[in-house]
Amino acid sequence: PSSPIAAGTPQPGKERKMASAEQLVLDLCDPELRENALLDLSKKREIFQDLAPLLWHSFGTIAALLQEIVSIYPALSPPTLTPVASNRVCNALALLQCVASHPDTRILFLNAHIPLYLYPFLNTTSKTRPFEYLRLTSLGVIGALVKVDDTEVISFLLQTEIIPLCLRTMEMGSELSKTVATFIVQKILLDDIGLRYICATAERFYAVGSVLATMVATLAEQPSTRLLKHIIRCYLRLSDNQRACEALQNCLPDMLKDGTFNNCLRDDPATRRWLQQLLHNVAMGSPVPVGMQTARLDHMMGN
Amino acid sequence: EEVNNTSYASGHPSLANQYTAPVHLPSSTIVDDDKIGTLMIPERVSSGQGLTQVASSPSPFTLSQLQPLIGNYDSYINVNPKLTSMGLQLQFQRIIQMSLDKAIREIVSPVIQRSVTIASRTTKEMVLKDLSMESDDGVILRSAHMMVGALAGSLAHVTCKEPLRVSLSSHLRVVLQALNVVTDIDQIVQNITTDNLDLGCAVIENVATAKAVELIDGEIAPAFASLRKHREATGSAYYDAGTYAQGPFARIPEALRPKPGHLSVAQMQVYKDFVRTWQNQSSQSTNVMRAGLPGIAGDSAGSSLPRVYGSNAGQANNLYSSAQVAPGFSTMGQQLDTLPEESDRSSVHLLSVPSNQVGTSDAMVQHGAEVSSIMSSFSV
Repeated sequence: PSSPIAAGTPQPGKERKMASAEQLVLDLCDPELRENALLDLSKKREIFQDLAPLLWHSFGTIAALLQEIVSIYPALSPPTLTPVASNRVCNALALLQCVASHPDTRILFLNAHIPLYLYPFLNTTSKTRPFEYLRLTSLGVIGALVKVDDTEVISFLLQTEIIPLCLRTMEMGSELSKTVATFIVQKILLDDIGLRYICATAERFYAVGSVLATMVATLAEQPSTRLLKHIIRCYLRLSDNQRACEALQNCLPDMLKDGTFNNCLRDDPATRRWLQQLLHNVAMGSPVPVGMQTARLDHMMGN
Repeated sequence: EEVNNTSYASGHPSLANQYTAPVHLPSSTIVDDDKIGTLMIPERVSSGQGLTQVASSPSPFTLSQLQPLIGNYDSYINVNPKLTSMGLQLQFQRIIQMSLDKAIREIVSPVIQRSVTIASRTTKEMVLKDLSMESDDGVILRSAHMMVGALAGSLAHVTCKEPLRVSLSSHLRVVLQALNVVTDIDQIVQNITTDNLDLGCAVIENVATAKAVELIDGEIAPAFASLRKHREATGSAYYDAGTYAQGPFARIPEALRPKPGHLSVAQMQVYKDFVRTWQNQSSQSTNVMRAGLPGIAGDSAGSSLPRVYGSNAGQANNLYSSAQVAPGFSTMGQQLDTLPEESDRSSVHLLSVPSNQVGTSDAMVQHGAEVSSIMSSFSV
């Protein structure tokens, strides 16, 4: 019996494409053919439809990708990861990102605890290109998980302590890594469980707050609109928590208040509105629900 | 009927960071008989249920439980010739041994708990996914052992390195300061730590592997028992090709599915590769430790190392020979009634395979293109 994938597609072009995806996935299990298959598949992962279920449910593929991951652990400390090895494992991670993104495989991926094998990569500190790329690609997998708002994903990440790892990258990573790490923290904060978790103790709040503040200071010298946007969104979300909002009265960087970034946000009205609302919340010392803001302002103005 | 196969709580203790609130991964997976036949994938329970799991037996990760697995590694301690030339060979041997011992005891429990818990969960899910069609229980168990041993060992090694470095240095410093025998304490502490860190990591790695192999049978047995029961109840053969008509395999081309009945040689090789990859990746010190362990492990009665690292007719350290592993399968034996005694011939050669370094081709290092593709998916 032929598979629906191969049989149900009349277009010869598509059939050939799928046949080659099938062959490449098969090649992943052969150590001799794996490196090329990783490269090829990760290049074509956008073209192959439903690559993620194929990767997950085919025999041994995930096991083979896990071997790729653990096989470079010894190169992490002392840092000896070569560009070629980094590229190879990043191709494997790109395939896992595919699995993390797909609605049919995301929970299976979490359930097998596979994101945890990436955490040692996020714990590295070497600033060389192979390591920077490794961290960025690993964050890409986590980013793909949080992109879809799923509280189960957030719980998993919180329980496995992703926050300190993200904070580390936000402190010392490249602008790209910082952006993805901040994006992950933002998505975690946007979940109610995530906001509660981060605001549960003063220590946690200040750990996040001080890293955000440091990034703001860096941005004054090297502006990045996309990074700034995620930082502001993080602050705004923190201000939704009463205690955090009060704390921000003292620790929100002045540069966010004094128009330092006006130029940077000129073409981004959405982020400008977030910043306005943030400043408003902090000035009031309490979060104001979006719908309420106008009414409350009207009231204050005596209307 | 629900089968809860959790036998221990799965905390993930963090090592020295500010997020030290008790956190736990959901450790229980409920295998639902009604669903497993079609999905062949265990249902995930909500984290809430996982958190309320109460360990029914004492944690297998306490120091006293792990102590017998640590074994005696004294003969592998590395005393720098410089120190030897100072005429302090014996003193240093003793100081290093004491400090390393303290350091290992300090971190071994959380590291092993985390590594073994993660590796067990991953292995269970992979084996259930890949080997649900396998009719030979021995193959299932050996595959699970190879995978869980390598994963737990790798995770433990990479996790313990920094905490062990910090702990070893501080213990060495305290002893050397108290003894007041050397002047350049910082340099000597650093040298000794560098010389012996790999040994400490290898010891912890070995404990993780042994513990993971010891526990994995109990982890996977209930799921497989339930799978088998379901098939018997519905009258379908253990490896019914018809199962492919439904469930996730329906979407998978035949060549990529697990072969019903028995895995093909190529398929089996994927799981065996866990051991090979792991051997190749290890530091020299780790390999020395592995080679040395069967002998020294025999000294400590009750250690499970001989079982894990059983030597077999000239094989220095045949990790997973079925003859050695089988006696430990009592849990599984009860669950599955019978276990085939047949030994996996090919596994005997497992560790004698010449290290097969996967050729590093001059594949284009195309970081730039990749980065932009990663970033494109995060534009919000």
